Amino acid sequence: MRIVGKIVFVIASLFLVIAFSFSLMRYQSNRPLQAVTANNNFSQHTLSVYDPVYLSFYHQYGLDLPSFYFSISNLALPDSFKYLPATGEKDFLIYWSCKTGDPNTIHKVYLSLINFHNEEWRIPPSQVLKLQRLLNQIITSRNIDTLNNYYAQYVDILPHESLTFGEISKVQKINTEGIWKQWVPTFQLHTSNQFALWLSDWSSDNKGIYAKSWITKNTVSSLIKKPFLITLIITLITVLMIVFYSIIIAAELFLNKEKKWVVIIQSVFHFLYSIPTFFIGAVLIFIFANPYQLQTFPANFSFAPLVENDSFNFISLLKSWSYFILPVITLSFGAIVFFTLMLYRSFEEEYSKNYVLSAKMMGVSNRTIIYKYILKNAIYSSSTFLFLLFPALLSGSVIVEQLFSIAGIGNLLITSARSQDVPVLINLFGLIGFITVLCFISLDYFQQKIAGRLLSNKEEKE
Amino acid sequence: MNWKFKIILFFALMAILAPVISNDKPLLLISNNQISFPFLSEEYKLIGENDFYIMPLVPYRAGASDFNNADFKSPFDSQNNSLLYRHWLGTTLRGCDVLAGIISGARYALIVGFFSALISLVIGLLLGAGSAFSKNGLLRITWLQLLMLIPLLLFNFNLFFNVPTSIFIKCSLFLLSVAVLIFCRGINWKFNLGIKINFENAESQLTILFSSVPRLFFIVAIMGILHQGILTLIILLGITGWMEIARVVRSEIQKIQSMDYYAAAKLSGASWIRITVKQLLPNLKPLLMAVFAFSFAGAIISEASLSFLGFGLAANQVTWGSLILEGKESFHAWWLILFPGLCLSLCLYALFAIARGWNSDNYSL
Repeated sequence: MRIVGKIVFVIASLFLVIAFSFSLMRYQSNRPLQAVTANNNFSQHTLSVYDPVYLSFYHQYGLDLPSFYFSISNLALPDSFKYLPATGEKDFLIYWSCKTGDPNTIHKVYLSLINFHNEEWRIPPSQVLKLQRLLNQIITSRNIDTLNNYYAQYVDILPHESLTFGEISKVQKINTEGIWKQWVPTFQLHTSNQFALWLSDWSSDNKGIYAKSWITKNTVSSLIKKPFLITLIITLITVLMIVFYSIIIAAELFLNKEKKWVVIIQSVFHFLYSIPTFFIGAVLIFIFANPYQLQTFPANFSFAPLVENDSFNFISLLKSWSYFILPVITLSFGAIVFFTLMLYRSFEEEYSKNYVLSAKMMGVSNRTIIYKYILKNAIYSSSTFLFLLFPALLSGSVIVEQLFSIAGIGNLLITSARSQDVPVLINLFGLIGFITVLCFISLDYFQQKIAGRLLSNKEEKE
Repeated sequence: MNWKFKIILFFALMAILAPVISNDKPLLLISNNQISFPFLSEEYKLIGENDFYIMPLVPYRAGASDFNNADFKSPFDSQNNSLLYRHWLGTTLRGCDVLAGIISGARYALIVGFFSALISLVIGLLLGAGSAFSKNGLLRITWLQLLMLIPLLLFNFNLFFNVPTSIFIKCSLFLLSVAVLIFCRGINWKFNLGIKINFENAESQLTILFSSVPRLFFIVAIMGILHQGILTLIILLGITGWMEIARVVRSEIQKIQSMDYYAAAKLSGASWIRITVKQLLPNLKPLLMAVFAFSFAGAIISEASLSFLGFGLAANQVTWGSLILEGKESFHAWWLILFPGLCLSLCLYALFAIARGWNSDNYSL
């Protein structure tokens, strides 16, 4: 039952992570859609924010919707004002919506301001300077009388009716009714929002907005599939390497622990542990993949037969074995050192126990004791490390994939973060979160069922 | 003092004295019988022919290019300047001095590491101690507090996001609302019964939530969205590094609570302040130092790897990671990889040794 409760919680927490990332997306410094529209063929330059094409894209991608079901605010609407380029106008709108506490009127002013910027080209150049000065005074005024005064002057000069943003005079009316409203927040419930869009895209068979990349227009699942497999292969090889080598090194060190060189190696290991991954990778590339030094191993994974052709199969995986050597060494180095030290410590703990003593008395050799009896118990005690190794390696693969230019998950994350490809980012978050939480659950299950049974057997024997 | 602390002190001194050690403005300038200290002011003064001046030890600023020695000059190459102006650790592609870059890198690494470790220590200590002190996993909140909680939360949300006033007023109003919440407990109200909240469970589940996305993944994705800067980096590293601290602190406090001296202090009627100051904190101190050193090291690694990926600090701020990134581009510039990497490893080795020292008996400062 506890496992079921965990799973229920996990699903909720995953959704929380994604909802959190949605709410963060609102604070983007650059506008993602400008990159998107620049990528399309119809416009060579990036579109302005007030361009009707941009606004239609904005609506199509659901960016004018709020990001989540609830919002607490006394601003106009939760997502508004974010896309006004001039900070003076934004401050002006925020100030008056706080002052009056009336969201709807301020939102109308906001819309008409956008309309005004669209029609700006109608203003004859002789009047531009004068109008700009007046607009500046309107924006900076913090008193309703002066505001209306400047606005009246402004309307008098305007050559065309569509340039007005007329709702502004209504602000005064509400202002007299409720000044107290400026401190009272309003709860708002939004049935249609970006999060709901993303949820519905799960069931819509790769047709929705959040199932397709904004930049390359491919479906997210097709984008993620191959990189994920490549990263998975590298991570699995690395896990096997880590377990194999650290067991052998720790056991051999423990067998020869009375010799002097073991002490030196231990202190060297402590230093090696503090060397970061990317430094090791850079040094390895410098030594083993350098045309000026030794060019023994290839460093650029993008030339591997596995990636080069469209044939993604077992034979090409075997052909490109030499491309895996440097990345796997880089990725496994720190973990091997850490796990070796950890195993050595638990060997020391186990060695003083009674079952080892009885085995010794029966004349079993030291090597057999370590490999047959102690190793099993030592691995059970360090199971936490082994289960959390997988997500940690996924995280470390970001650096390694950049170093060796492997087209894996980490590389995809970085390219999509650079180009602000929101759907890919969010789905990557979900995938990685799912894997990590799966590791947590399986660790919990392992410790309850298998390690717990082992402990209870021990107690019975004692 | 221990050798580990000496290493950290060396890097800290390097970071603090960075503008004095490496600068392209002279430390002391005497021109026309007027003494001035140009390295303190931001504007650049031209030095005349007859002026007397003292240059810093490293007469270069980090990130400033020297085109006479551009295109990867090795430390052993012949360089186009006098011995006083020699690049002792070589140059980058644009002719930036590597030694100046390392000094500036020490500064950024220590600032980012220290403050983000401080943030995660505070969060971890609060959550860990909170979940340890809520007896049997339960935290008591009175009904009045619960009733006040919702309007106060709304008020604070509104205050921080919607009201255009200065940050000082916002913070003082926030502290006022926290004070109101605390004093609600003391009021003898008719329905002041109290409800129990399972804080320990909530803390452990919050830990799973935060560790469900790996740290680097999380920060890279968010750094693409937010604008890059030192404050953003510190806050992001701080809020992603508290999970281990909270777990360790909780188990250690629970261990102390089961000790005899703790029970004796409680039986003799000591107040909770006295117990915290006299019993808890002295016993927690070595653990806290170890944990702090560990998260310090973790933050430095993360900062360096983020700079290496190009998602760390802004482009004009030179760090150890960005130097190694530049060295990766060229196949013969070994000095760009070796020296920053060695500094980084030495700093991390000292910090890990401090963290390990908690377990050994000969622990001393």
